[in-house]
Amino acid sequence: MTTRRDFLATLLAAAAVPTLTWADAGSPDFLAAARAPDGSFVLCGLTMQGRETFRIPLPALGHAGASHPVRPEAVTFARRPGTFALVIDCVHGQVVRSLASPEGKHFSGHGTFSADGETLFTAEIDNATGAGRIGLWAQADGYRRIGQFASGGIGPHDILRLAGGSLLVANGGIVTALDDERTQLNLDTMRPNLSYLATDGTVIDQIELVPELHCNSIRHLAAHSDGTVALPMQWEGDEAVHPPLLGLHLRGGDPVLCKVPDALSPRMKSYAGSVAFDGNGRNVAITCPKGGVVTLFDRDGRFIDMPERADVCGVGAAPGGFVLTDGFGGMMQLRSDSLTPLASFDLAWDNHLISV
Amino acid sequence: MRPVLSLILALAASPVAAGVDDAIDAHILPGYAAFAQATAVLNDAAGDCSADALRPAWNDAFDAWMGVSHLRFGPVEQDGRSVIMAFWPDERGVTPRALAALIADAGPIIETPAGTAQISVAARGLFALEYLLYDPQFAGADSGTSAYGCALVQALTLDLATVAAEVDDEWRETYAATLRTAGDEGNATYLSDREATQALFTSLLTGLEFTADQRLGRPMGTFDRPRPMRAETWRSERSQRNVVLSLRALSDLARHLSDGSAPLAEAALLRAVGLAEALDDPAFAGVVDPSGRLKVEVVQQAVRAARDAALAEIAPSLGVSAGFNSADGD
Repeated sequence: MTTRRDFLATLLAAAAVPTLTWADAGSPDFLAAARAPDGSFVLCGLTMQGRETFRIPLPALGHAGASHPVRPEAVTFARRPGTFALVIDCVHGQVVRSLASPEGKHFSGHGTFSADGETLFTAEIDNATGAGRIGLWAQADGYRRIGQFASGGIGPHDILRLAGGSLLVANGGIVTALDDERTQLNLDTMRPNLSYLATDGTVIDQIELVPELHCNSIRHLAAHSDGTVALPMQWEGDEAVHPPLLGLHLRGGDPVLCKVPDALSPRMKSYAGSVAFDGNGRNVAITCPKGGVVTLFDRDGRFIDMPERADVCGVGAAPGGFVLTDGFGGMMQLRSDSLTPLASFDLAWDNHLISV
Repeated sequence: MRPVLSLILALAASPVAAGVDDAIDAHILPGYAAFAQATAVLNDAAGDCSADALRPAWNDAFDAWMGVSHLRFGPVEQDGRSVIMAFWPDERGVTPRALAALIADAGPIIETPAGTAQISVAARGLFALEYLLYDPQFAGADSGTSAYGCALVQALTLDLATVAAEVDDEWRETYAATLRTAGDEGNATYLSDREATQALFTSLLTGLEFTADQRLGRPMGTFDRPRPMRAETWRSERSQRNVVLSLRALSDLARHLSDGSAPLAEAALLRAVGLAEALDDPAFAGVVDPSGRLKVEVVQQAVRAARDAALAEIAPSLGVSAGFNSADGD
């Protein structure tokens, strides 16, 4: 039975902490960074139907980021050199906090929240050695830095929270100099891996590709509800070689490398930019902005189709298919048999769609 | 300043569609028609499958391919046709191995067009035919002693002519209209005028990059290790000719796209064409010595300068750019 005191306490708490949710930011399905025509940068909320729910100015081009599981709050990372990240209140359109990468390290551009939203995990790279770290930040404590542990490899890029709460990190394997050309220093010896980590940093499992694919940098990640993980890759070997660019992995097994017909594989330009499973979990798509195509596979890794869309890169799940964004402002809907426009914006969409 | 700049860009954006129409009518459609025609002539010539009789027609077909090889969107990319017609670079030597395997088996698969369409892409198209017509390992067609070699040449010329005709047909019958009606309601391929212009401009940029990085860059290798046998079509000694013809085609595209409003880019392209023509190194065999390699490198630098000039001068006047994501990976 609710006492009068309990009732008042509840009322007071509610008044003191008005809990905003993503509905207050227009219920976006995705967040995406973009460049506006005047050269400025913005972060947008987008629905699956192609509606823009908010547009917030950013001081620099954002890359990927993380959306808080409950609060209408996003963390976006500076594109590069990646020494800061911004916490953005997506309701009021304000940058509420700036996070600096630790001395001698830079952010990879990707991060993820714990399921309860209390901890932000950021992928970080040692400037000198390329060694990877995962940084921990306490959301409720003003994003105070509360710890770090090894990412399990060199040059981590994407980081994902899996259904059970553990973390998955794509250690891309590349040591990159922080010069303007981002010179890659170890292409002969690079060894990317996929690391499954507990939230205390314990390595649960680690997967490497076969030796002849050691130049295939694992960069991004997506997870299926059944535990299958999709790992798109970027080939750093000879341009005339066209290796598989998507692997599917279920713990306990070897990664399945998804083959594309010989006549089509050169079209991907050996570069996959983003990945997603569709809303039904039936298919998986990788975007290839350099080739201007999306490559669609079924969830067992069998090739389905390769529709054309210039500069396509962002991809996210939608019911029965995918949503795609590109650098020319387009937003498209991809189904297994069709690619149709949803909307056209005066923006150049950056590489990723971040699911809310 | 910004509103003024936007106004200038808005005004400059209006002749965009004219450039696209012009490029379709005077560059793309004639280019594909010429290629389809040349491959049909090659197929007719294959009745007599001696290499001597076929080489001129194969060279004409390759010349025509250089007129369109930079157009990498639409029908030519459907079902991997560009790769089927021109499998190069072939770093691992897949083409000669695939051809040798076919010939060793004397497989009946090539007896029908549907069967030929099933063989490895590496054993189809212009580059497979180059092996059959020029490489000593595949003397069968030349001597006329190998019935299978002759049948293979005939199957491949028919296959090539078929695919080239499909591309030509689809451009004329549907895709030209798709590109022309960019931005119209119901056009699901090009959501705005600008996207059509962008597709053509991207072809110009990537065509220049391909010629600089692959056609010139592959044989150049490194200073310490030049790689003349990585040159495109070195067996038929037309590597230099390919560079000249592809640069001429790219200059033509640039002229139609910019409608004479890009004098610096046009001059840079002309300079690159002139330097490529002035080389005296048909198969780029000269890259093995430092002075010969330097001459090829000078051409490569001129092509890269032309690419930069196109980006600096043509792109802003058309309101297009290098792709935001394709140019800046992560």
